[in-house]
Amino acid sequence: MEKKMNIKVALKYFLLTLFAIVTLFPFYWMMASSLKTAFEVIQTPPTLVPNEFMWENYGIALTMAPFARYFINTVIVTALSIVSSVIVAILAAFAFSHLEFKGRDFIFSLFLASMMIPGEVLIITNFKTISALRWMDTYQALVVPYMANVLYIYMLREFFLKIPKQLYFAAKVDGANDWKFLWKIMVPMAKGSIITICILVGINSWNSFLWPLLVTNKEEMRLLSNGLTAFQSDAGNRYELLMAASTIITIPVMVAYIFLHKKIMNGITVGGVKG
Amino acid sequence: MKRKLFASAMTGILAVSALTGCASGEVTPNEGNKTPVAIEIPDMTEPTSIEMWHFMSGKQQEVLQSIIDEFNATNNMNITVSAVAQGKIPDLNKKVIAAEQSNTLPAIINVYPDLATGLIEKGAIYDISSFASHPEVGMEAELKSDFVEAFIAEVSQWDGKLYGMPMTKSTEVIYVNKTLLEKIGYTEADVQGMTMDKLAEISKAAKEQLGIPGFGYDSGSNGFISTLKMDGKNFVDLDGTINVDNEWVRTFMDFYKEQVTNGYFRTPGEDGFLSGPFSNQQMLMYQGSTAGASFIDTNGQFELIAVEPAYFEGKDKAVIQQGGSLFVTTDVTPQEQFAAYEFIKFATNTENTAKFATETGYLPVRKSAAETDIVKNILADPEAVYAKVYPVAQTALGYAYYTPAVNNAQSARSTIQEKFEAYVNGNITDIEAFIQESLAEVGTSIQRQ
Repeated sequence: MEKKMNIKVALKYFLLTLFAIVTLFPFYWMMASSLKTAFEVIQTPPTLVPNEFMWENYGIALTMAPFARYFINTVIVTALSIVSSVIVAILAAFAFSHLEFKGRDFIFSLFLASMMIPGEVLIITNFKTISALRWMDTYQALVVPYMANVLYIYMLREFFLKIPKQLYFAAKVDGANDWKFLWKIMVPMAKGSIITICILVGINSWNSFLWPLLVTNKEEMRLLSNGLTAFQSDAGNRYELLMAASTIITIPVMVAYIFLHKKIMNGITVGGVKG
Repeated sequence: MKRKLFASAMTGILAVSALTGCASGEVTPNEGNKTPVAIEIPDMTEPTSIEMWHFMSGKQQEVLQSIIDEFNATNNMNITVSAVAQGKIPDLNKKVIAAEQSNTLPAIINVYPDLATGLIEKGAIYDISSFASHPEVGMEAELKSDFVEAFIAEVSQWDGKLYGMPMTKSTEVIYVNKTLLEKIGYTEADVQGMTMDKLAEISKAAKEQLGIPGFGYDSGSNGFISTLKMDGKNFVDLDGTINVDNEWVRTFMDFYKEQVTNGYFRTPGEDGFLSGPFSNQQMLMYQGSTAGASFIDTNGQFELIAVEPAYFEGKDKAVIQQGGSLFVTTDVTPQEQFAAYEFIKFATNTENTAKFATETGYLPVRKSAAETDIVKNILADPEAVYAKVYPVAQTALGYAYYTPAVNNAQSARSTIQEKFEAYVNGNITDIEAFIQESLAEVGTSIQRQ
């Protein structure tokens, strides 16, 4: 019996180790490539460990684009996107789930229908809007068009709908208005869903490339992802520098995850149980 | 009351959501200036600032900036130029298309002619021949005698007007690993001006003696289009005729398929840029852009030479010349258009085109660049890769062709590259299927707006 258990545990750890390696290998490969010479990075068969550690690749990569400025912009835009998206999603989801007004369900259906429109189709019209508002090279151009996301509103609305109406009426009896009920009762209960939305918005915002490129012309307004094009041209790519820059971009997110992963996982689990 | 206020606030949020999420685009963009201006030189007493959007990066961007800095410091018309990198070519194209629709194009855009075609049809590109032929500021004589004819022909293909000026131009050569070539019993003379049969013979020897493919195309679409051109046919004519249903296509596609099946040639498009496998001595030769020479790293292990592209016996020689050109737009004021023209004139003068080309790997757009010290010095350096490529490219430019600037030509090229690859790999087994699929999909590509 004990032997059987041991095999089971060993198998579990073997699979976990295997998946961990599969997940982490691309990150390792990126970092290893960032430390290779221009020749070694394109060498076949490829080397697993750099023959010579080219730390200067990082120095060169950093001089090819203003990455410090890009980093600050990316942090600002990501933070603003998370805060604004979550606020809009909370308020809209509450309106669609708990407030009674004429045409509510019809409007929500229209919102859902808009999810069928591919994002690429909206780019030109969004660009025209931003351009007409004279918002080029501003943070609002980078944030406002993505403040409202129907998917997040839908996710949160579904959660809010699961909260019994009795709770709403009980809060009313206790003298709480809608605003207080939303922020004091609903939002804390929806912590898990809200954290999920924060993560999704954060990832999208951190990785967004085309939109920031479209609405910015000044170097000082661009984001980290835009900096990666500095190493690619129509005739060839500098892979080792590209990988160095990619590592620079990825490390803050990885560090943030290492420090926050317990909170993130707890938030999701708690939300899941309560939901 | 509070509830009503709250409901109003919610409705407001919904309205913002609808606006941002659905991007209604109801805001009316300003109309911009789409009217061609008169020939008179505008008054340039006031300071003029213009922008140039481009796809350059790294060293290319650095050299461009140095030319801009010099222009800004030396021009006596108070013109200030600033260059904005807009990512890679497809990224720049998307931005240009979006900006055209909102009439916010900058004064200069560095794009490929196929994108320019769509813009010209919409009246977004300014015909600079009015400035170029002007007795005071023009450069008509230089355009006729000094600029490379093939480059000027490409930017004059729309009703004979001059809609752009060449800058980031290149052609193709065959890069050869001379060390390995000699190892398999051939010499440099064997690959100079070689036919496709000779290329196949050497490639076979490479496969048999070294176990590596002998040849590959960096750009499969260029390989296909150039082979078609050897028979005098355009891939797609300016009127939209697609020339892939003919006996020549059937003949050469089977030739390529045989070479790939035997392992003598690499599959086109297999590796993206072939400078990697070539540098690693995983292939003997490849046909690629002259601008890609700086990405070859011999690592001191072999000698590199460059030769003209091979041709089929009994057919014409054909090599593509390609690249972005500088176009002046109609979304800016006449002063800005003139400032743009002045900058382009400066950036393409003999010294600057020599400097830009030798430092980036592109080709000088003027023949007189060969007489400059910059070019002479680099040609005198036996170790310089550019010195190996430049003379061959100059010969190739003598018969280089340009592809008609059909709308969405880039998309059509991607399609034919995909089909070419699929056929030689055996994923499309029947030549008729290859032809019919190519006709249908390329047709869709060029009709898409």
